[in-house]
Amino acid sequence: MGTIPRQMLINRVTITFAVILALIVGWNAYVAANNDGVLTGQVVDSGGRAVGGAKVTITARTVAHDLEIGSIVSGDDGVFRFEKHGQYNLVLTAEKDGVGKSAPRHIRLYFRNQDFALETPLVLSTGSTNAQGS
Amino acid sequence: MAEVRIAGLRKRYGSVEAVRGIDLDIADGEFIVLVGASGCGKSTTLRMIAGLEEISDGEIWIGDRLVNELPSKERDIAMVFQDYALYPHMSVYDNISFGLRYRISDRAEIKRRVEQAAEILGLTPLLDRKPRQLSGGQRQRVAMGRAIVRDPLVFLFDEPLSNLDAKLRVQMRTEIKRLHNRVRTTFVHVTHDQVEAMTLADRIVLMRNGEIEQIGTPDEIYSTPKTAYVASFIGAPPMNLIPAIVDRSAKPMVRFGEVSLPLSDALSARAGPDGRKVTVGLRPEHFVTLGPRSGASASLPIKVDVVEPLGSDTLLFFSLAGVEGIARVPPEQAVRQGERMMLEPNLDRIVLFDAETGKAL
Amino acid sequence: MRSRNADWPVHLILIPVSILMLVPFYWVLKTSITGENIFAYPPSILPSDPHLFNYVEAWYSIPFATYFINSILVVFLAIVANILIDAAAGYALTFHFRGKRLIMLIYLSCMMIPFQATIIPAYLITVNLGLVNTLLGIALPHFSHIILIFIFKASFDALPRSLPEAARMDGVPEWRILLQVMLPLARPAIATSVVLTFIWSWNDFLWPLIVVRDDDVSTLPLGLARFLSYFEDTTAALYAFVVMALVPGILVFFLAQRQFIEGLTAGARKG
Repeated sequence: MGTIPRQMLINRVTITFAVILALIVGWNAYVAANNDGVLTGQVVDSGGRAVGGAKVTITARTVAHDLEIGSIVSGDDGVFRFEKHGQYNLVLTAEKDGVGKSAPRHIRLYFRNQDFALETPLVLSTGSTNAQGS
Repeated sequence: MAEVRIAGLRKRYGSVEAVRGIDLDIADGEFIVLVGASGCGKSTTLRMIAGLEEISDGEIWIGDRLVNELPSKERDIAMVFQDYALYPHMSVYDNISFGLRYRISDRAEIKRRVEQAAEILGLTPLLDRKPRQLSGGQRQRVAMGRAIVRDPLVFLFDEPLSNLDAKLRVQMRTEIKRLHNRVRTTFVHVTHDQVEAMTLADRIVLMRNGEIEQIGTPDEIYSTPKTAYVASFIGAPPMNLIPAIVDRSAKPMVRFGEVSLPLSDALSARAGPDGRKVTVGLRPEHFVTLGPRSGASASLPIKVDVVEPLGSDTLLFFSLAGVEGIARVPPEQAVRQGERMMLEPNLDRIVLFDAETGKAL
Repeated sequence: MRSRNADWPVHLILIPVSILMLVPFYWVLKTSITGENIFAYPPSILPSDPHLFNYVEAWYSIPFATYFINSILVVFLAIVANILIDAAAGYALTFHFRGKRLIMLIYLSCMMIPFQATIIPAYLITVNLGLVNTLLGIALPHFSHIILIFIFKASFDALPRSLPEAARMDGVPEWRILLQVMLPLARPAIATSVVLTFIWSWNDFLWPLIVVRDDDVSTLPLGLARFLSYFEDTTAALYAFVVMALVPGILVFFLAQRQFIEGLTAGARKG
């Protein structure tokens, strides 16, 4: 028989595997498009004013330990931008002498190096211990 | 097309001998039917011709080749099985062509043969269907189609009609006969149905217990059976077999109970001495009914036990000298159960068998 | 209709039993999508704040993708080999030949030998073949299971003898008869093979443990052991790991069950 019998092409097994394959390909395409590792956000003070020159630190969080990865300084508009952060589970803290420290912001991503933009800014304050939601 | 020669064929399963020495010459293009009761060895013989069973002893020749050691596929034969052996997951076309693909590589040639066979058998509109979508008769024809396309030297049929209902059986019987007329190849057909044997065969081979009882044309087997077994097997309803004694005290007669029947000269010559035990054979259609009282000398007084009206004839079941008898009479004769009447046998049609050996005299 | 109503006592018993059996699965699933403390009392029935980050955790904490792919490859090899080898052996056993009884007796007695008793010879053979620390080495002992040989044999015996005979008379070679005539009609046996082979090789821990040295050749059970050894307490990530390891098995089971049993009931029985 030259042609593949129809029943071999259209049945639950092949369709299931085809769907799985499509999902895998689709997911990987999505990941590839969004994994530049760009992490952006803004630092503000307790009054809501942008804080420039604040040091923002990334700490990698795994089940075993926390490890500081690196830090960056926020620009004049309070916006900071990490590139190729390489993490999937991290904590952000911001501080500036004289203005205060932010509560640690725990961010969980779906894949390593996922592009992510903070929804709410990091708020610097003195002596605040409330953890803010991400 | 080829003739088939079987010499001294035997088949043993351990200590049991299923086939005990078969000698048979089948002419090229002949339609031979092997018939007999279950277990008589007819299927085993066929399967040995086919190569599906090992031959314990003897020789089988197809054409001018001794095929004992040849595997089935090299014997150039085709077989139609009792359960058709259709591949359920393949279409009719694929079923018919499946075996061909290992002999012929040319697709166009395969297609041509399949379509030709389909046309002969009226299967052309069904080529894409699967076996489960076909009726019994259609499946039978697909099985035949598969055999036809092989263009074999011999066709083998292993009780192909046994799975069909009565009406279909009659129809397919005719199909097989028609096929034989068309291809004129040697056909070897196995059945337990003696009607099939009588209607299909050029010659009948009646088997019993692994041996051949008689070979002959349907007419020969019917009219001149060589043994009582043959006589009772062929013909429906079966021949009446009545135990009797030769009585030569006056004219040559056979006597059973109170009744005597005169023997013709020919029979008398072979009947043997006075007092010899014989079996009298007379077929149900060889009686003529007479009224309750009649003067004919050779008449049998009977009491009718059961009347079976068939429409075309009426069957009368009666007892005679302690033996059950059957007579076939024209339907116009209104006979009632329990009636006493006289039956006149056709004396020329009496067959005598030796009571012990069963052989015809 | 009548029989439906009369069955309610059976349902009354079976429903709670089924729920009871499904509770562990549900629990694992629930814990994997929340981060909750499994020792909290009273336990909460419904997941609160479900999220998928535990799966991300499990995926990255250990080379999950590697283990997963290795397991899939091993199982795939085992399934294909099993179907071919066991079907061929089962088909051979439908013939009558001298010594058939002896061979079947040997097979049956081999079935009674536990794998643990043959570990050392199996290891030595694997070393001699140069297959230590390879996926083929992990899969090789799983290439044939004797019980599946008998399942195929029984399946083929149930088919009418005239089918292979007709093919044989046409000159079809035996391997073709097996692949194109017998196997397509033995779908339940194939389904059984797939499911059983999958279970036995997917979950196999002891043999891969012996044969594997490097992390990149490890299968999922080995990966799980490694995961547990890194992290002392059971975490939600562990549960996510378990769920991910379960999914292929459940998938294969549902596919095999429906596909092949459907094929059986759809027909292909002749008159």
